[in-house]
Amino acid sequence: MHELHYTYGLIDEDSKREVRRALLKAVALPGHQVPFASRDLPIARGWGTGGLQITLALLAPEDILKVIDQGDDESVNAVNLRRLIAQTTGVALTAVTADATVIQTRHRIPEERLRADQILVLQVPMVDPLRWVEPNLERATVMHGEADYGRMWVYMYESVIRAGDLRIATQYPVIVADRYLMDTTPIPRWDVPKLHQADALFLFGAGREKRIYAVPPHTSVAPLEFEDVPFRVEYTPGQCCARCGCGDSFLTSHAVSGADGATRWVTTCSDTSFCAARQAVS
Amino acid sequence: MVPMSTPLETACRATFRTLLACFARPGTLGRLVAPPLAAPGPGWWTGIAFALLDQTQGVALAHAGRWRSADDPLVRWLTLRCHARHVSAPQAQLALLADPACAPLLDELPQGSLTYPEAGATAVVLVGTLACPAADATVWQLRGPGIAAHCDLALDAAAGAWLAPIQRSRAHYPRGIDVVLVDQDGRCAGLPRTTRITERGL
Ligand SMILES: [Zn+2]
Repeated sequence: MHELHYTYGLIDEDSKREVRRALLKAVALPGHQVPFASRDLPIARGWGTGGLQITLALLAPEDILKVIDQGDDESVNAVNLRRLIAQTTGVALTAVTADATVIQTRHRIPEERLRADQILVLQVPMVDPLRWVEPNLERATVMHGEADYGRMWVYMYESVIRAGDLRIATQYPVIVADRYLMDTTPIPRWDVPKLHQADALFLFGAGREKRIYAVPPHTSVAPLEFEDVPFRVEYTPGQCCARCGCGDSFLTSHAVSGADGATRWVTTCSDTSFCAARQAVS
Repeated sequence: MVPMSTPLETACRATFRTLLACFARPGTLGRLVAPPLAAPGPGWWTGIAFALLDQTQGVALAHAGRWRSADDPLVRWLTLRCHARHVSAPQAQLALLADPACAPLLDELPQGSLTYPEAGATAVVLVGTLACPAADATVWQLRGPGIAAHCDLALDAAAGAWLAPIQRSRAHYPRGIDVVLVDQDGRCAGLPRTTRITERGL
């Protein structure tokens, strides 16, 4: 049997250097999308190649990595990404949020407040919030350059009038550091306030659309909202996790087959390691 | 078998992580490392050069108030070893400015465009010390993204010459220049273009 030989961190040094330069400019321009030459990797685009390239450009052997998908460390996507990264860097892996130095994620920000020594890498499928009003990427880039966001405000207001609420459940648009309109990736509205004045650094990678952007710590992140229709997180009063009892976390529902063969819906914390820790102490 | 980084790759990664941390938290001091190879100029500069430069990048270096020419030994070494292109200041992605006499040259570096502000240069500015005893220090108060409220940065008095050109370099945000201050011992502080600086009397 032949063993596969990888270079450290899978991608070559030229590619890492380009990602690193883009990351430094992204941090210096909070919320601005910096183009980069996204590489082909042994996973399909759309499955986190943008986030993966950032993680591989960052990781030192002494880092401790956590990978989650939909809040779950054990989803197939998270397991595959984690295996690939560990095989090519030798970093230690963890499911415990507090133990990680770098966390790669799709869909969720962990429930525990992240610390200053932690970096969260988000996988981004759809990069530009202006796609709702301007499908042409070049014209959208010019609109960002001029902070020309009037049409986006109109679009948001019309969606309020039509639906009675802001319809955009995930990828909620925000203004970063009072300047750039930014997509919040497929994170739920529940997680959007965690980006505002955080202690940790947030890095966003879109492999298919070849863009990198960032939210530094202690940076203003303001959801688009209106005086008569303020931004709200998802919350159903009285609902709580069936496993740990938490009434103050982002919940998901999934079908479970009972002993009698009947299918029931069970609502639990989306952040599985947060939920497991709460069950362990209770 | 898990692949290993070469010592040079390890130094490049450490340099990048230090720069990333310093840009994410302006005013917080980092410490740059020298890669294990003989090079003209300070070791930490060699680390920055290898971390950021390649054939796609233009570099310009200044000392004693003038840009170094193409036949300067440090320039020749960089273009040969990092494959960077030696360019005039308005074309540079990365610049090294070695003393306060170079402060006016910061105005010549590119600030990018409204559409592509990331084309604004990264300027590495050498100062005397970033660990200055309070009595002799120039103190800058910093505000902006990455800083909770505000923080102070103490520099040697001669570094005060950089204040006005750095302030000018960020007057038209998002266009601008991102600055890394480095001292003789490799201590560094990031001043990305979002950082607003005022001089504070002691
Ligand atoms: Zn729970």
